[in-house]
Amino acid sequence: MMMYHSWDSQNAWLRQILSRNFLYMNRATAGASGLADDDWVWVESHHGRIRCQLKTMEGCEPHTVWTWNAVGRQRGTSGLAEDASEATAGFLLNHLISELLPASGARRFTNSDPVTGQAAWFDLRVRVRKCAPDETGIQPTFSAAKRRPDDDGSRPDVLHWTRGE
Amino acid sequence: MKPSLSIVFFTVSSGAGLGLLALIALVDVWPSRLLPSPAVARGIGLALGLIVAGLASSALHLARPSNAWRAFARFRSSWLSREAVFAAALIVVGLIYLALAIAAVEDALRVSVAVIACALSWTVLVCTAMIYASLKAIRQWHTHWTPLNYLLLAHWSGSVLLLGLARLFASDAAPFAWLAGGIGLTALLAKIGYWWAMNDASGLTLERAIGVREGVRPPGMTVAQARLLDVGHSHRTFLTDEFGFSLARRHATLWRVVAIALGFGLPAMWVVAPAGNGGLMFAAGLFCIMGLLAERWLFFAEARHTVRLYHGDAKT
Amino acid sequence: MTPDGSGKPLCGVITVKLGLVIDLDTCVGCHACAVACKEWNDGSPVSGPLSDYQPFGAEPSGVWFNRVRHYEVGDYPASKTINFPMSCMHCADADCVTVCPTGASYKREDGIVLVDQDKCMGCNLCAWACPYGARELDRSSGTMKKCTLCVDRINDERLPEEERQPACVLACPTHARFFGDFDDPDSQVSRLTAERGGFGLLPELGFAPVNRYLPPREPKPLTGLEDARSLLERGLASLASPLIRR
Repeated sequence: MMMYHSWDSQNAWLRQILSRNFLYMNRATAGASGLADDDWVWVESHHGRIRCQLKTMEGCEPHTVWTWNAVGRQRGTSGLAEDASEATAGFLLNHLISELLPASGARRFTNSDPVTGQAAWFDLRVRVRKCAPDETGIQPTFSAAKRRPDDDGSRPDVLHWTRGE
Repeated sequence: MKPSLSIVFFTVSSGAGLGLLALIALVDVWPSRLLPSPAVARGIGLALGLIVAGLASSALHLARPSNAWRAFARFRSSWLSREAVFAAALIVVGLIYLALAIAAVEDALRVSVAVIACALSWTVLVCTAMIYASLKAIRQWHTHWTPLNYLLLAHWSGSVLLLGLARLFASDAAPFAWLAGGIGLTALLAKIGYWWAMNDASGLTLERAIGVREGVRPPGMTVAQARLLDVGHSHRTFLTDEFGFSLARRHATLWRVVAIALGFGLPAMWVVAPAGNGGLMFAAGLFCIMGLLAERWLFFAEARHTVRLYHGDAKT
Repeated sequence: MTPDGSGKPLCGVITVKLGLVIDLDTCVGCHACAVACKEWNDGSPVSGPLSDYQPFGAEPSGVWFNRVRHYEVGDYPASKTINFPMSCMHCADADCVTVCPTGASYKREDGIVLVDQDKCMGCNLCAWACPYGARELDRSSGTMKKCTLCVDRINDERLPEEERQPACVLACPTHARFFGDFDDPDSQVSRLTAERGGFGLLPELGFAPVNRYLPPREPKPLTGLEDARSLLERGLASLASPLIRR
């Protein structure tokens, strides 16, 4: 219950709490598939595939995987240094999820909840398999975003706040 | 615990100096004169040098050394404060003792100063050891073995240095070899005893730490295993830096072998050898101190602070 | 008492033992208490800045007074997630104060354990003495920092009375945190502790921690589908009847 903090801003305090995510899987399910904590895994859907790091847990339905989404960042975005863990270890599920439902007849429907319109990500079937030993690091990755003209790339080493009156 | 190199060096260097000073003072007040005054003076000088080097190193551990002078404030409650007070007193007494030995004064004053120096050395050693032994949050330190080990190791390294002086200056070095041998054997046995005692399973558990017994568990269950799900920070913190240090078991074994071989084995060969030259003495003392540095490093590396439970360790 | 935490006794005769109750039943682990704590205390006159290192870099970290950890107890499906906020327990027998050589660490008469930032020499010994990880060294100032129970809020008469509480308590969205005097048997914290079996962490270490944790409640058993159905019907009826009568 801690992720929603970090949305949008990657605030200097909130990103100390969570600045990278994992794919969570039921511990028994993982064990039966030969997967363990910190394993790198490929996650594949009909739409695409990602590579990310696994964590096991008890409180997860055995046939469901999940993650805190929206942690992953393109390098150089959100005002972060290019080696920020959001960019080097964080990942997004977006690459697995199609905007549209599979075609049925002439019309295509958006892949969204029929009542709320919220993107419907809950019914995506994926395959999770262990990476080869030399396959580490998140996938896909992208080149660093171009800096804003007023950004010289420097970031403070230390932040001190003092309380104003 | 993260082995703090400044503290590791401090405890070994000051320990050797304090052990040497205590033993020299004892030898000096012994009815039959075993060491001539110039040798005593050199010994006191070496001891004070080691003590001051150690204390200087310990100051490097402070994050705000400009406040170090305040460490004398809590003599009544803090072992660290007591250590600071007695160490300061010892330096003063040690310098007076050094002056008397250089001047080859042979009277009741020198005997009383020697007795005070010896008592202060022991007091500082006890204070240093109690800094660690008093920490209830660290099971591997909060034990009677901690002061016992530290006092014996300090006297062992001190006795090796004293034997060097005796081989150079005393007419009969045999009593010094017996002294060093006896202390060394006791110190080694006590260290092995500590490692043996630390093997027991009586530690706190993660379940205990978060209160599974008190009801922090799934409904309807009385016992359950607890695991860390998320530590609440993605990167290191002060707490993980300070307490997160872990040593693999095979590395621990290697370090123990190194500590025993360097700290006891090589110096012991020199102790039992019928005679030795100055170079060998230097090597023996150096090996002993290197071995004890490994031993102190291990003392930190193998200590598991209670807060590690909250970071997911199953037990301390 | 002064907002700068000068340690003057609160009152002459009545003893006070201030601390927190944390309800593990309702805590959802959102870290709002930890963030609100940092927001209030960062740069306060009591503690100075709570420095952040590499705030936008590869390994962001910093000084916090309050950290929330998450545990799972038991195996699926009989497992329970426990969100576990931890800050200073303001121990009655605080070893962090005993071991402090400079007198920087002290315990006030109202029970609050504080660090005088002007006296601390950064030897870390108090952090070693604390089993709860409540103390963190600020590398920038070279001094130890810790929870102050918002000593500069709780007695500030310029604030409305309901706001004279630690920032973490005010911020908690599920009301899982309570602040009060454990020496008063009629206080909310004392009553909650008694009613819910509140416990202190690791009492066997002998520090007599003051803060109390309330274990999760046992869920009330469902009375069966039939009961649920009749409940639903009765509910619908009571909703519908005013409409029908109209």
